[in-house]
Amino acid sequence: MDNEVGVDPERVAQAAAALENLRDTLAANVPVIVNTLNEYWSSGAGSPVDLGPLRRAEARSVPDAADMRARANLAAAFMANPVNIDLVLGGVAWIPWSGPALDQADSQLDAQDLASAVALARTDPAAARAAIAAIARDITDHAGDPAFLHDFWSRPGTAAAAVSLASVLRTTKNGKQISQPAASDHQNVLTILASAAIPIGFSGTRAYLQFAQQVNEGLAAAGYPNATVAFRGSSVTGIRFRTGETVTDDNPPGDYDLAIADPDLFAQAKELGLQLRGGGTRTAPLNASDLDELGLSDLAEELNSGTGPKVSFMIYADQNAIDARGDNIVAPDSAAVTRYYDEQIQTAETDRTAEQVQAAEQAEQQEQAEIAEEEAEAEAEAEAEAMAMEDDE
Amino acid sequence: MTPQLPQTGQGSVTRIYDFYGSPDADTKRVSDLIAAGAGVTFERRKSADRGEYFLAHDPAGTELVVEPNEIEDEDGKFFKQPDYADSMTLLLAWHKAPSEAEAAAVLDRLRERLGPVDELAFLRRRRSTKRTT
Repeated sequence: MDNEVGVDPERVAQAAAALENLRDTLAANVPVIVNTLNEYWSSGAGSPVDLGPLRRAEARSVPDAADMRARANLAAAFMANPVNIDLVLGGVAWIPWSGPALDQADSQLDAQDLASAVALARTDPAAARAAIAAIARDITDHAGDPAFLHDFWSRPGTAAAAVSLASVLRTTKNGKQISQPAASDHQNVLTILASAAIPIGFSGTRAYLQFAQQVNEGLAAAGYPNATVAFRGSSVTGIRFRTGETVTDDNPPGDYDLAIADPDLFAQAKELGLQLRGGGTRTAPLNASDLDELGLSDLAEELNSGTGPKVSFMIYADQNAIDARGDNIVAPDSAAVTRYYDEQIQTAETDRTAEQVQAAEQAEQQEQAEIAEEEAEAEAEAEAEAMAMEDDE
Repeated sequence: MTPQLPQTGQGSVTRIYDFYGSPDADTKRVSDLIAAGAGVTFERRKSADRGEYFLAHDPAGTELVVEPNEIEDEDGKFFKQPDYADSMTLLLAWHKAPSEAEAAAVLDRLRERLGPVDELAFLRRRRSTKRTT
């Protein structure tokens, strides 16, 4: 293909991580800078300068990061595909670089990964959860790209695969299943994908979302409303650290290892002199005293007050630093949790309407049957009377 | 330097954190000794980030965590408390109370009970007081 270029997969992955970092940094800081300067100028101080380029850079960083991540994913898939073994020369992967060809190849890869995750979910739910989390992230990255989303969802079986996957992963150990929203709605299916990636040990979506919301609210109360939360460790991988023991819903993880990504929180940890690891991109594991210094003791105590799994925390500079350590499941933020509950209410209302229609139809059918029965009886009576009259004659 | 502690009392909560260390690298053995001294029962827990550790709560509500000081991640081995690298096993005991005096009294009693525990040394104490709403 004309649009295909040879790339070094590792370099492209590094570039993707760097652009994602830039995107996150701009998203966190540009609104603050713009608001602060606007307030400053509106008070009559200083001379306004054009902040348009800064805003445009912030907007542009989103698709740029998504495109580079798509290239990195495609390059990795190219290298992993045995069909390409003859083409793999000098560690170069051949991928479409830009435009519709890139979108199509990326959406096709996501759709393929989704189909694989369906199969995997039946045998290895933990691995499937991690795969879904990666797909959900990629789709979320393309939230403002209707062409990509249309291409992804229009691939044969994609929406059905998402629903099927959610259905498999949401089947709890007591066999109860949660009702599914309509697959036709892209946003609903996105929510399914995001919520299907549930760490092991939660009894179901509701318990997971309640926990996620508790963490989100606790972080907001501590002054970190934009922090993102990810699960790491055995609740994601299904393998207990060091012992290699398998973790399942019947043998749940002992602790939840939470990775909190927030530049401000991380900056505070650095300022406090907490020990850093990962080349200065994350803290060491935090004890109760560290959490107290960071203003997180109330949250930690609330989460650890029950008899269930305990919660450990580590603070990361950003999501890339978490991704660099391997599989993780990003917990839904407050908006996603609210959206999920709204959707559940909507689904319940739709179900109720469907039940009402079904009940009305059944009542009508019964009424028709009764009328038909009465008519048949009347006819039989009339016939009997006619026969009786004939006999009299 | 002794930190200036804020006023405590009504509308505030004080947490005090006492750090202990033992040169014994066998965390289980150290936790057994502490359990006998403090009259608590430890529960073995596992975390991908923290490694294996032992958790207990005493009747007064004090939390005790025994864990190895040296652990390993992708970057290699490191000490959680590098300033106390002689201590291979750490004990963190912390208590929360409405006043500093109350929290300190509870932890002082625990410290006395842990006195006879072989090779367990008190390392440092950290206090924090926050206003509650």
